[in-house]
Amino acid sequence: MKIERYKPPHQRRLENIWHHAMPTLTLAALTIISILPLPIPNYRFFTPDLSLLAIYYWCIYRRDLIPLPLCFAMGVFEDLFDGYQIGINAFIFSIVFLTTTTRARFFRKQKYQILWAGAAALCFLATLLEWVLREAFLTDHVTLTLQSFINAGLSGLLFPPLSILLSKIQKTAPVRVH
Amino acid sequence: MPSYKEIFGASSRSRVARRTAIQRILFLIIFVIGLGLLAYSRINKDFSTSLKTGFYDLAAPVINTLMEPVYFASSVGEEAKNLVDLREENTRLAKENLKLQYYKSQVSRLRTENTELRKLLSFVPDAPSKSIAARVIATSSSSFVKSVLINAGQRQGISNGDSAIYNEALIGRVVETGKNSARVLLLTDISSRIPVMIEGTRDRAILAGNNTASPPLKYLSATNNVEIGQLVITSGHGGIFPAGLMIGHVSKISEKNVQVKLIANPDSVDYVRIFNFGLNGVIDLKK
Repeated sequence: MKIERYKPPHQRRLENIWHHAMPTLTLAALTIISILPLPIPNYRFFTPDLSLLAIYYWCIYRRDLIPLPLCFAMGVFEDLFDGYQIGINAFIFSIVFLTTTTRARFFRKQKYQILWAGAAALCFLATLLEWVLREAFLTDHVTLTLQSFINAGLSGLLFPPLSILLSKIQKTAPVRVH
Repeated sequence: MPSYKEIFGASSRSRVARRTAIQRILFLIIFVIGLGLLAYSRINKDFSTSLKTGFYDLAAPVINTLMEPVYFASSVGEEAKNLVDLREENTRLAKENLKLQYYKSQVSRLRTENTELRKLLSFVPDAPSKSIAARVIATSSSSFVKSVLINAGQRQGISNGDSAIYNEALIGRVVETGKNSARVLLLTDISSRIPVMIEGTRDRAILAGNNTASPPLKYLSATNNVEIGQLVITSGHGGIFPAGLMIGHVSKISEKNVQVKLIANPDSVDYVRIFNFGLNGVIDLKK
């Protein structure tokens, strides 16, 4: 029988805080990274939607720890940086949250390839939704460019490394500590 | 004897049902707030502008701090690359210096001649321009939006309508100004419209951003004489930009449109120079 190592109360408290804050912190970090002008060639031209992927991942694996208001707030944060109508990304993130949480159990039972395909499909759907919203709320006619689809495809391709990273982070607090 | 519910509280199934119900209500509230926010920021532009500029001022120092390690790593890499290329660069600069010496003498002669001619004509010169260098600290995360946030604002003398220039070429204009930060709308953005002309033929048009690296020219006259490779410059119409700022070269001519390849790629700009040419424009952009 495996005996759990004794942990002092302050360490347990810290682990508990980390356990609850982990999805919030990673989502906030990825949202900030997505708006930073990183010195990677053509990074600004092909900006992957890291925050969307993080919402997808956490909604499937730790839906109890990722609240909807947080996703909404992160969307507003991205909207403020975009400089156009406030609410577009917030709305998209909320839809992604709802779509994923309602199918979280299904995704958890599937093979990894299905999960990956789900992430890629979600990125394309989010791009289309963003286009519809911008077309509806902007005075100028917004065209769907090749770059939009490349961005969505790139986001889909980035899901495996990002999911590995997030799962490693998740394993740092594997058990819910009371 | 106490019941199961009294000892353990509600069953896990009812807890899940309650949580689902709460989530549904929460989603409905968020949905309504989201739509309301979209509609309100569309109707009341002042609300969204003041919210954004206030947010930029708060976020700018934080982003600057976050980016410091990246800037440091980037500068170290750049330094290492420069050291490797030093000999080659030195030879290139020596050749360029010879050319520039020649141009310098020509410029000096032309300047004197120009001053004399202006005196003869009683020419009213353009207002002197002021400029400030600023660093790009954030970009838009969407492929539908082309704008950047810079770390200089009203306190540094920047105002709406100022020109953003990189490597002697126009890349955009300031559209929102906070106290210590400002947002630059790039030429490639869907809502960017710049009055331009073709150098040489003087054909006038509007450079209309379309979220791609090669924006098209609109309203070009049907009898234009545009050729591939010709330089596109600002025409000065509208009074926002002075005439003659370089923008790009004509890269593609088709039956439908004429495309321009920008000289400075806005997607790879790290620093910009913000110029105030003292122009107020036909529409007051300073508001």
